[in-house]
Amino acid sequence: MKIIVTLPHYDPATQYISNWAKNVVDFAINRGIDVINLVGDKANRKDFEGRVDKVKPRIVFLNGYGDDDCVLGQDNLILVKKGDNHTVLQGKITYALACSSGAELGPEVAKNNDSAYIGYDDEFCFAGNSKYLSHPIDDPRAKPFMESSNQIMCSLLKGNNCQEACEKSRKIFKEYINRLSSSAADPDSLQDAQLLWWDMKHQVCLGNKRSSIKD
Amino acid sequence: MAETLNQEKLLSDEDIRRLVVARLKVLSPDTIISFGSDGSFSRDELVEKVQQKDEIGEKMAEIQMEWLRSFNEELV
Repeated sequence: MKIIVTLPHYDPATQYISNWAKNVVDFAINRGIDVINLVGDKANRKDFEGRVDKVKPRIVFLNGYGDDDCVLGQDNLILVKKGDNHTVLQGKITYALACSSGAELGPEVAKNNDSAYIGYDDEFCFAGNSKYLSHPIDDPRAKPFMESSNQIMCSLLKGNNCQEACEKSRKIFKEYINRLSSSAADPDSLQDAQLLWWDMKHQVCLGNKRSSIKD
Repeated sequence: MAETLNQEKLLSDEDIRRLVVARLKVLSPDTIISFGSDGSFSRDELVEKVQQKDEIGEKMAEIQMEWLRSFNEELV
């Protein structure tokens, strides 16, 4: 079983999500899964399409910025766009940790029932502490956001189907929301709970929800 | 009908902005919040954006409203 992971990094937000996505990469490698990482400049459309075509991964894990109809790679360049090259994701399970691509790109990819697309239909927001910009993996404020997100991939890699993976992710979101919102004396916690609630509400699971790596 | 709508809208947009600004001002100064390709912002930048009613400021208000609505929903 093979997966492709895009890991652009060129500003604080992409540094955060790509660094935290490495936990998923390690998790997959430890389970004997063949991981193809497209890091930094390699997270471009040409390399992405070429590797997907050659490797035929079961799962594609996209990290980066997004919009309603696309997901971006390194340096804000388009990686996958609705109506252009979205068919590159057909027949696969895609998880896009990117803003808004669940609004238009996801539904287009998931139109045929041989594909599944998990993403967000609005902004994916997260909080962090500026002291950790150079080592985001150690930022405790980012942890609830990134762990809730990573749960999708870890569940899929364990063999859960897409619907189950989303349910498990929502469970982690809710655990953190409950924990943080009960810390009423800490304004940071309350703000973070609000952002987590937003992300959880905007997570979408589209297409064949029963798809899994066992198929 | 208009009266009913006004009764339902317990908080005006300006009330919500004031609430968001008040909440933001008490965050720790090292806070950064990322809004995807719109950028990552410090606490003080976010306060300004809410006061200026720009796109990010309005998004913060929307997140606040979504949170307030969450109290009608089961969390567990």
